Amino acid sequence: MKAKVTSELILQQASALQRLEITDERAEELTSEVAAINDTVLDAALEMEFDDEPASHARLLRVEKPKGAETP
Amino acid sequence: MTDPALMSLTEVAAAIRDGAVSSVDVTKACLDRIEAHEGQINSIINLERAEALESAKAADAARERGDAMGPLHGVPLAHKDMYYRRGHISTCGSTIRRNYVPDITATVLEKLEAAGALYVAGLNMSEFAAGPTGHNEHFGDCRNPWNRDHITGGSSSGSGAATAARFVFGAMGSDTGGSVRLPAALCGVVGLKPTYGRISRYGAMPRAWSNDTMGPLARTVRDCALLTQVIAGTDPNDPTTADEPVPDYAAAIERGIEGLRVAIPVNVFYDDIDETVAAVLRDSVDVLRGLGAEIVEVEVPDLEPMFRLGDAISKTEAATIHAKWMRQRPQDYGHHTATRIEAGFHLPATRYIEALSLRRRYLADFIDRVFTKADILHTPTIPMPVPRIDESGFDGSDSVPALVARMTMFTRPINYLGLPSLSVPCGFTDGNLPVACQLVGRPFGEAQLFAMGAAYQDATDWHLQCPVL
Repeated sequence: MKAKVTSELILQQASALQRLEITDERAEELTSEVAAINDTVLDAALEMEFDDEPASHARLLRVEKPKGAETP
Repeated sequence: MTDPALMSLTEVAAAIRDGAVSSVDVTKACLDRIEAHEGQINSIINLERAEALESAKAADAARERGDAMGPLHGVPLAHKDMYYRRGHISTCGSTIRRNYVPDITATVLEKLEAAGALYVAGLNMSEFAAGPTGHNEHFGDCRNPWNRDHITGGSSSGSGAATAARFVFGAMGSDTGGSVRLPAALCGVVGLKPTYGRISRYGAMPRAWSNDTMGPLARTVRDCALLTQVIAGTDPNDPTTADEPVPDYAAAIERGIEGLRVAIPVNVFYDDIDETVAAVLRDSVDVLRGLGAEIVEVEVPDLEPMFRLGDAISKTEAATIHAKWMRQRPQDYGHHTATRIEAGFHLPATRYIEALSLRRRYLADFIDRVFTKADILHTPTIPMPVPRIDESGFDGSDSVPALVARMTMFTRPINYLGLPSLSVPCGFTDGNLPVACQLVGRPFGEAQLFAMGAAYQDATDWHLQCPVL
């Protein structure tokens, strides 16, 4: 079962991992934002393949440029 | 004689080159407008009046001597105050960099100067380019020239406002999630977010390296194309620039749009949109159809995952960029800015790398769903009329973050994909505030965007309307 992102987790991360001071109130606000981003990426990552890597994006941009009229 | 400040960039550049008007007269006309109206707009952080006039005199003298003249010879421009100029303050809209003097000059500024452009001012912006509204707690909120109670959009707030107010003929902005297109749309001017890698980022303040793009704002599509022609291309100082030839954008515009296919989304973009905005967008599609563009309907991929994946990258990279200062001097950040960065400290590194690694898949799917059927995707730039300043600032209201997220819902996913996108004015709402469409192209398809946008402007006059100051 998945554990929730809590304000305690945010506070502990800030202090132990990031050397940041944040208020309890702000930690509470961050829980929903962090959980939403984290869950969306995790769900999307189910589609990832072993050979996927960041640089393949720039390669595809160059491959998919318009043909013909774009060439000066 | 017509006030030269009211000419378009391409018109004034030709007039200076031909000797119909001097650069000094043009620059004085711009400075006069700034002096008369800047107090209402707050678009400028650093005005370089003396430097601009000296440069204008030098430009006129060079013309008198018969020197070679670049395509922007003697034309006054101003830029978001995050483009570094060696020896000049670049505030980045912040208290932290209020007195920061860089020792390098941005490649974009070097190219503009080499083309003959003058530097008039560093322009207001959201602090560290982190905010889509144009609010700034350190230098004051930038105000929309069409109605001072309304936002300009951000983060290139001053670039949109100064261009719309006819203070200058064009301005550089930067776009990480919509920061060129939003102020362009809300201020009634044209703005380009280029393909990732088309224009050098060297010497421009980073917001989030993997999503950052540098783009111009100008009054017409042809103006925007001319600025892009000057600044685009590979740069050894920015290894992320692509070694791709830069097309002749003016020639592409002259070729016209015959045979170009325009995709209209039947889902997502119109699911939650203000009806007055939707009506203006429908009219703009009718104009394109009348010009001979083939209109095709497409189902686009869900924007929400791309929005979040782009957000994961931007927040994590911004947290990395700002980590030292946020530890050492958090009190110097505006509340808006800090809250838009902080989540990046709490996302695992694996989420960040996953978001980057998934980019190719999302781009391939988007191309398959849209660009196998059409050359250009036509969408709204934002789904609602221009918000008021008092309803979109940080006032503790729960509705503000939702409004801010909604403003960028149509633009941020395009940064994640890395595609080029042009915001073009296409009408007004009842309150006489601008509405814009967003034209999204294939990778490195800026020429087609300019051709479509220019054809649209040849058939309409929205871009010729000027706010009464």
